[in-house]
Amino acid sequence: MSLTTLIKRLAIVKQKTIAFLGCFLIVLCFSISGISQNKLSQKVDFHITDSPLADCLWQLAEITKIPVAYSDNDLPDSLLSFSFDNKSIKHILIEMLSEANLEYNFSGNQIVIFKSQSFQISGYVEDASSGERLIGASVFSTAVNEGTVTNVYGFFTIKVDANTPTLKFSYIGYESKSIEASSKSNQKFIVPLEPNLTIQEVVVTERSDYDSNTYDSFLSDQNLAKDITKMPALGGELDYMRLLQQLPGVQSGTDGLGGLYVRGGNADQNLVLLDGVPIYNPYHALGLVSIFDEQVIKKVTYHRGQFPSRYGGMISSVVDVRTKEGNNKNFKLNAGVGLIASKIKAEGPIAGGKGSFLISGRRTHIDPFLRKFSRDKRAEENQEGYYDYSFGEVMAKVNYGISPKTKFFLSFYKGSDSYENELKINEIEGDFILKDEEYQDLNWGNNIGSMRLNYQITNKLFCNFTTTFSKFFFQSNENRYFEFDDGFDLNQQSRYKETYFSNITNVAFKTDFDYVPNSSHYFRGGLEYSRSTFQPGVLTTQDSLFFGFEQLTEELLTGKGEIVSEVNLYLEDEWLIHKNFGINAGIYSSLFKVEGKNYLLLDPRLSINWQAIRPISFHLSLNRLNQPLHLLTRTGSGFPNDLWVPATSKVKPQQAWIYDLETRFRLSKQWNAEAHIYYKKMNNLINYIDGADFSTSSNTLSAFNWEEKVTVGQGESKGVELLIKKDKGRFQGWMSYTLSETTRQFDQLNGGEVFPFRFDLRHVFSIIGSMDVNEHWTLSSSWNYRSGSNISLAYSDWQYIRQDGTPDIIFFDLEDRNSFKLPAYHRLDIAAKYNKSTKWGKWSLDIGVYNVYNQTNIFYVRPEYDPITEVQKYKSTSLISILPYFSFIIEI
Amino acid sequence: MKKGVYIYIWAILLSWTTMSCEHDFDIDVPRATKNVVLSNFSPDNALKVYVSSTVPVGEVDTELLKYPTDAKVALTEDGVLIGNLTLVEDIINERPYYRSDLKVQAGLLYEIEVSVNGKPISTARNLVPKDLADVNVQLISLVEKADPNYPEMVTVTARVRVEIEDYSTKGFYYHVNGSAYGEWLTDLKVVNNVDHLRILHEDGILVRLPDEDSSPKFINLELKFPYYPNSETREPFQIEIRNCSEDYYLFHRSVGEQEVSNFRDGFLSTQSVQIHNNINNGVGNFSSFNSREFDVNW
Repeated sequence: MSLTTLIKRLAIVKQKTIAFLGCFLIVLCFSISGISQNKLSQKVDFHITDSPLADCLWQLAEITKIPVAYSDNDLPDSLLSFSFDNKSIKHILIEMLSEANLEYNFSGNQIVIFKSQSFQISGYVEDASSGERLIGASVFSTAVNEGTVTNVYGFFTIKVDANTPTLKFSYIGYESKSIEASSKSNQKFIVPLEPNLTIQEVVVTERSDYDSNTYDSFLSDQNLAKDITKMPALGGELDYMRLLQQLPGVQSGTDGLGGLYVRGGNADQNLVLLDGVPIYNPYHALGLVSIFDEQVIKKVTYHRGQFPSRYGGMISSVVDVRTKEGNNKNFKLNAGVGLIASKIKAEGPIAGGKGSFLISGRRTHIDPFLRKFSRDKRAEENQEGYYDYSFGEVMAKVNYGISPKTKFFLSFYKGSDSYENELKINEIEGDFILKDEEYQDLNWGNNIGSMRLNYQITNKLFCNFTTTFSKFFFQSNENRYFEFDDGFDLNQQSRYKETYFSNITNVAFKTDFDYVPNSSHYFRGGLEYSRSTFQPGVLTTQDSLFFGFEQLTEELLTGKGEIVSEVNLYLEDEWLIHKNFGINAGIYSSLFKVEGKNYLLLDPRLSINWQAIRPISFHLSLNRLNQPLHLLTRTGSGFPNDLWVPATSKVKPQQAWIYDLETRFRLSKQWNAEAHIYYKKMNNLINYIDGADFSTSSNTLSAFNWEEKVTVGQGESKGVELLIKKDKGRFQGWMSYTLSETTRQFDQLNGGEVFPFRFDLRHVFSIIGSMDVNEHWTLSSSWNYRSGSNISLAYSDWQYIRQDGTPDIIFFDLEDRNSFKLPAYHRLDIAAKYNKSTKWGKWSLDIGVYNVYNQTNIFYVRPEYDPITEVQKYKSTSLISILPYFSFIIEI
Repeated sequence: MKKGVYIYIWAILLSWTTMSCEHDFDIDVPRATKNVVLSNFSPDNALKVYVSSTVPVGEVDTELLKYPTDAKVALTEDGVLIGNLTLVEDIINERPYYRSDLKVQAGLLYEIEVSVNGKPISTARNLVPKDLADVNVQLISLVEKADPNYPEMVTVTARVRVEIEDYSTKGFYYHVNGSAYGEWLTDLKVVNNVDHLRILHEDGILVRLPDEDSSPKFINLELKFPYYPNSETREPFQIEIRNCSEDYYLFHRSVGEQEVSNFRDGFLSTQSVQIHNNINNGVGNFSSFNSREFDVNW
C-alpha cells in the first residue's frame, strides 16, 4: 500500500485519533518530500448540495486526489451546499471552512483541518424590552483585549478567542452583559440588554481601551438621547437641534432661531440625515423647534471635526439622526401634551415578532388660540381678519425580518408648517364703497421616504441597500382685492395675486457595506446615485386692473427647474495599527453633473488616533469636504423661503479644509474632558451682492439668473473648544467653552476687505446640569452665554449733491460690514420632571421656566421714526422673555 | 379642578407666550462724524469738489448740514502738486464748493487732499478714463403713435444701438443718458441683456458690459419722447455716453441701489447697501468720466 493510499483511507475514517495520526504523517511527509503548496492552486469544479461538511470534504478529496484529515468533533452537523466552477482548491477550502470556524494546513501532500484558535462572530445587540437594535453598543473581548461597536443597524462582528470566548456587551443606560460566545452561535446571535433604570450605576470601564479608535468625542460619539433628558425644554419640546446648540463649536441665532452655525460655517452647511435621508430644512417655526420628535429618536450622532468618509456633501458638520424601529415584543402607546404641541406614538410587533411598526404624530394646538387672539385684536382696530400658525408631522415605519440575516425596512415622514394672515377693511356708506381685502398663506415642509434592505452576507460582511426620497417645499400665496367707489364717477377695482414656490427634490439609490476581515481593519464602503431637481423659484404675478374699461393682466416672472445628477463613492478603513494607535483613512468622491459640466470632487479624510497613556488620548484629523449645494439667503438665517441652488459652471461647489487636534482626558470614572484646536478654511462661498435678493427685478436680469446677483468668496475660522462632562452619578451635566474667530471675504462686499462673520461669537459658554433627587423627581437647569453677533449698521447720514449742484436726498453711511457687535446673549432655564410608574404604564410631568431672569436678548434691529422727537433711531426686538411651560406624557 | 380652570390656565400661558414675543429697546451707536467729499470730474468741465460732514444717524436736518468754508483742498496731477482749489459760494443751491479751473486730461491720475479743522485729512485719487473714440450710435427702429386723448401730440418710440468698437475683454463702465428737445429723457430703457441699473439720484442708466467674449458688446436703448408735429420740426435727439472710471460706476450704482433698498425695506434698513467709498478718512466719491454726445436724426 502506497503512502498516498494509506492517507486517503485515513481521511475517510472519521476518528479523532486517526486524524491526529494524519497530522503527524503530514509533518513527516513534509519533512521527507517537501511538496509545494502550489498544488492548492489547482483549479477544479466542485458541486455538492445539502450535505454535512464531512461529506463535502470527502468529495473534495475524491476530486482533487489530495487526502484530507480532520476531527469529527470539530465539524458542524448542518447541511451545506456549494457550487464552484473552475476555482482553486484553496478558494474552495476557505469558503467551506469559514462558516464553521475551521482552518486548514497543507503539508506534504495532505490537507489537515483543525479548529481555529479564534473565531469571528457576528450578531446584533438589542433592547431586551422592545427589541430595538442598539446603535453604538460596545462589544468587548476580554481575552484579546479588543472591542468594537455596533453599527447603525445594531450589527457587530468581532474576533473571539476560542479558549476564552467571553464577550462583554454594554451600552449607556443598559445593564452590561457577559456572554460565552460559541462558533456555532453564529446563525442568529442576538444579545438583548436590559434597560437600566438607575442610570448612574452604569460603568463602561472597557471603553477607554479602544476609545482611541472611535471617531468622535465623548458627546458626539455617545447617544445624545440620554443627554437630552438633562436639558430644560422650550415649550415642553425636548429638541435635539437645541441640544446640539449647547455643544462646543456650535453657534445659533437668538433663542435658537436659524439653525446651526458650526465652527464658522453657514446654516446650509450641515448634513442632516434622518435614517440616512438628507433633510434640507430640519426645522419648524423658523428654527425654534426641529422636525425631530424626541419620542421617536433612537440615536443622534454629531461630527464637526472628524468626518468619516461615509459622510459627504456638506462642509461643516454631520447630524445623523436614527429613529426607533418599533417595539417587536409588545404593543405600546405613548401620548403627550405640552404647551405648544400634542403628540402620540404607537408601536408594536408584526408577524409574530419578525417585524415591528411605529407610527407617530405631532401637531401644534396653539392655532385656534392665535386665531381668536388676533381676530379680537384686529376687531379693536376696526379691522376684520386673523393670523395663525401651526405645524404638524407624521411618521410611519415598518420592518420585517425576512431571514435571520436579512431585514427589510420601510419608512415615511411628512411634516409641514402653515401660516395664514387675513386682513379685511370694509367701509360702505350709501354709494361710497371702500374694500381692501388681503389674504396670505405660507406652507413649507418636508416629505421623506426610504426603503432599505439589510443583508449579512458573511460573518465579516454586512450590506445595506437603500432607496430614498426627500423633498423640501415652500409655497406662498397672496391675494388682494381692492375696490373704491366714491359714489359719483370714480370707481376702481383691482385684483392682485402672487404665487411663489420653490422646492428641492432628491431621489437616491445606494448600497453600503461593512467589512471586517480581522481585528485590525474595519472597512466601510458605498456607492450612491442621486438625482436632484431644484426649482429655485417660480414667481407668477397676475395683476388685473379694472379702472373704467381698462383691464391688464401681466405675468411677470417664470422660472425653470434644474436637474443635477451625482454619483458618490466612498471607502474608509479604520485601521488599528497598534493597541494604542490607529488611523481612520478614506476618501469620499463625487461625480457631479450640472448644466453639462462635470465636477469630480475628491474628499480625502484622515484621522490619527493615539492613546498616549491610559487616561489621555490624542486625535488629529485632516479633512477636505465639498458641497455641491448653495443656499441663497438674504438674512443668513436659514429661513424656509431661502433658496437651495446647485453649483453651476460659473459658481463652483463650496469647499472646506478642516484641521482638528483633539485631546481627551478621562479624569475619573465619572468625569471626562476634551479640548479641541481647529482651523477651517472655506472656499467658493456665495453671498448676495448688496441690495440684491431673489426677487429683485430692478434691472432686466432675470430674477432667476441668481448667478448674476451673488459674489463668490471665502471664509476662515479658528478656535479652541473645551468640554468637561460628568455622565454618571446622581448629578450629571457638562460645561463647554468655545473661543473662536470667523471671517468672510467677498470681492464685491465690504470693498473686498475681510469682515467678521455675522455669527463670529468670540466667547460661547454653556453649563447644563441635572440631578436625580429621588426615583421620581429630576431637576435640571442650563445657562448659556454668547458674545453678541455682528450686524451692519449706519452710524451717520450725509447729503448727496447732484452733479448739477442741486442738493439731493440723504443717504446713510453704512459702516464696514458686520462691524457693529450686539450685546451678549445669555439665558437661564430651569425644569423639574416627575416620573411615576403605575400598573397600567407610566407617566411623566415636565414643568419649567425658559429665560428665568427675563433677559431681553436681541432678536433683530430695526430703524424706527419717533414722531415726537422727529428722529430716526435704532430699535431692537427680543423674541422670548420669561416663559413657563409644561408637558405631560403617558405610556401604556 | 374643573375643566374650565385648565382652559383658563392654558389661555394665560399662551397669552404670556404671545405677549413675550416682542420687547423693544433702543440701540446706541457711535456718534463720531467724518468728512464727506463729492466730486465727479471730466475733461469737459471745471473740477468741483463738495466738502461737507456726516451727522449722527437720525439727527439729520438738511438745513443744519455743515458745508465748511475754511477747508483746504489741494490737487495733484500724476503726483505733482497743481495747487489749491478755491471756495465758490453757490447762492442758488446754498451749497458751497471748491473749484479749480484746471481741465483734467484723459489718462492722467488726479489726487486731492481735503483738510478740515478738527478732522483727519481726507485723500482720494482717480484716473480719468480715455476718450470715447470709435463709438457708433445707430437708429434701429422708430414708431410714431398719436395719442387719442391729445391729438396734437405724437409719442415717438425709438430704438438705438450703441456699439463700442474699442471694447476690450476687460469690460467697461458706462453712464448712458438721452435728451430730446432740450429735456432729459425720463423714459429711457436698456432692452438687451446687459447688466444695468436705472438710477434716481441722477438722470440716466448705469451699464456694465461683462468681460465674457460671448456677451454682447453693445447697448440697445429704447426711448420715448413727445413730439408736436404742428409746432415743432424734427430735431435730432441726443444720446450721451459717459465712459466712467470704476469708482464712478461703483459709487453711483451703490447709491442707486441704496435708494431702492431704502424705499423697499425702510430707511436705515440693516440689510441695506453699503455705498462704495474711495475717500480715505472720509466718505463720498472722487471719480471721473469722459463723455461724448451723439445726435440721432429721425
